[in-house]
Amino acid sequence: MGDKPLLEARDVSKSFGHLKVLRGLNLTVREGETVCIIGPSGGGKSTFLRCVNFLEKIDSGALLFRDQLVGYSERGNKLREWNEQEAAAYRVKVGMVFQHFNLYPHMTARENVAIGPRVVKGEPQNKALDRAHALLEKVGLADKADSYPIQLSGGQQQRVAIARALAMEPEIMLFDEATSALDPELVGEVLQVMQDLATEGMTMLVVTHEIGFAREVGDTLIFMDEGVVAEKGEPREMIACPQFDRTKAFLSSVL
Amino acid sequence: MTLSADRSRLKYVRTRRWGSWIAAAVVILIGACLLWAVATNPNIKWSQMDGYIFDSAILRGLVVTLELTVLSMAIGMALGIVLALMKLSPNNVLKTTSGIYIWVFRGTPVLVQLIFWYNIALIFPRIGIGAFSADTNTIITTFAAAILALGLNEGAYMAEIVRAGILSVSRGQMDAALATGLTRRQAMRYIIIPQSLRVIVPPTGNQAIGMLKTTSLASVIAAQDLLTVTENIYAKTFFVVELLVVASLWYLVGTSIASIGQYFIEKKFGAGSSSSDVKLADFVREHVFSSSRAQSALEHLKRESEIRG
Repeated sequence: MGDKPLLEARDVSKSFGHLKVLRGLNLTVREGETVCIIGPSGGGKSTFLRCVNFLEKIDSGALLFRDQLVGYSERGNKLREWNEQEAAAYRVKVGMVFQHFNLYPHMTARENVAIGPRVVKGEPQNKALDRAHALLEKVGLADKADSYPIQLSGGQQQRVAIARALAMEPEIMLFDEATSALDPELVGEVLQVMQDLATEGMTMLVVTHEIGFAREVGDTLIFMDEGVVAEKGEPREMIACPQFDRTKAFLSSVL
Repeated sequence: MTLSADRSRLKYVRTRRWGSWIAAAVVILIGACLLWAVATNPNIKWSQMDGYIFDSAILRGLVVTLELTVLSMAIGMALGIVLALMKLSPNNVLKTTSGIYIWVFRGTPVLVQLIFWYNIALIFPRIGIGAFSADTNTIITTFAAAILALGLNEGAYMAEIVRAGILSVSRGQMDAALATGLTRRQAMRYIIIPQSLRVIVPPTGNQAIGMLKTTSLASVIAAQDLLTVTENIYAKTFFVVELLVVASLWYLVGTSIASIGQYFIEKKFGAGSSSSDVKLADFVREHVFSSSRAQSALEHLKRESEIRG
C-alpha cells in the first residue's frame, strides 16, 4: 500500500432539498488501500459513493482524485463544471458496483462486460469480447459468458457487474452494498471476488453491512453516521472496542 | 347406502358443463342461421365478387391504402420520438409544447382533423417562404391531406408510447452506463433505447395495424384509397355489399400479414426477456381477434411489468 492519497474528501456536504445528507465529511483513501464504510441506513454512505464518481454533485467542500478536483476544472480564475465528455473520462477511472447489479438485461454477460471498452475506448469488437471472456473467467463465470442476466443468480449477476467495472481498468473500485440484495448463500462468492481484488492491490472503497469482510479484508474501517465520519480506525481494534456509543450501538445491532 | 365392495372397478365421472354445452349449441345454431341467410340471399350476387377481387382499380386502391399506412406511420413515429424526448426534457417550454400538442391531437377526432387538413387552403390559400410560395391546393392534395392528418394524429399517440417505453427502463441502467464512462448520448443509444424498444415495439405494431384500417377514413375526402375506389365502383354498379366484402377481405389480408410480421419483429427485440417464447399461432390469434388497440397495449404493459416484478 502506497502512502499517496488517491481519493480525498474535504468537508464534503450535500443536501437533497432540505435534507442534509452529508455534513462536512472528511476521509482519505490511499493507493492500494481497502476502506470499508459501515453505518446505519440514511447515513449518507451511498450518496457519498455517488458523489465520488460524480453521479451526484456536492454542494460544498472538495473531492480530490489524485490531487485533482472532481467535477470542476479551473479555467481562468473560475471553476467550471465538467461537460459530458470530461465527466465520462473521469468515470472510466472509477469503477462502480451497485446494490442491484444494474446489468443490461438485453445483453449477454459477455456483452455486458464488453460494451464499455467497445463504446468508450473504441476497442474492436473481437478484442473487447475476448477480454470480457478473460474477465468473466477471473470472476469464475467463463461458462456463463453467453447467458442473459435473467438466466443468472443474483451472485452471478453481481460478479458479472464486477467484471464489467474491471473492464474499464479503473484505478479505484466503489462497492455500494454489493451483497445487500443477495440471498445469504450467495453472499460468499461475491465477497470472495472482492477479497481477491483487494489482495491484488486494487484500491477499494466499500460500503457494506458485512462486518466480517470489513474485519478480514479492510485496511481501514469508517463508521459513518448523520453525514459525517463518526469514527475511523483499524478494523479489528475498532470492531473489538469501538470508542463511540453510536458505533458501539450499531455494531452490537449487526453482529 | 352401502359402498360397493370392490371400489377399484368404479370409474370417475367428471361433472358435465351442461350450461356451456347448451350455450355453444345456441351459438352454432344462430351462426348457421346467419350464414344461411347471407349465403342464400338472392340480393347478394356472390358471383360478382370474383370479378372485383383482383380488379385493377381495387388493387390500385389497395396500394394507396398501403402507402398511406406506411407514410403516416413513418411521420407518426418520427414525430412521436421528438415529442416524447421533448416531454421528458427538463426544459419547461419543450415539455409544455409537447403536452399541448398531445392534448390537442389526441383530444379531437381524427376524422375532424382529416377534414380540417383537406380544407387548409381556406385559411392559407398560398403556402411557402418569401418568394417561394405555391397554391395550397396544388401542394396539399387529398393524398397529402390524408397523410398529414393521419401522421400528425399518430404522432401524438406514438409520443405517449415512446415516452412510456423510455420511462420503463429503470434509473439504475443509466447510472450503470454513466459509471462505466459512457456519455448520456451513448447510454441512450446502446443501453436505454434498445431496452425501451421492447416496450415500444408491440404497441407500435398495434398502431400500424390500426392505421391500416383507419386510412379508410380518408375516403371522406376521396383520397383514392381502397374504400374510396370501392365506393366509386358501387356508386355505379350498386353492388354495395359485394364490394364492401371485397374491400373487407383485402383489409383482413393486410392486418393478418401485418400481425405475422409484428410477431417476428417482437421476437427480434425480445432478447433476454421471457416474452420471446410466445408461439406464432397464439400471437396471431390474440392480435387478429382482440378488439381494441388500447386494450392490447395495456395488456402488453401489464405482462411486461409482471416479468420485471
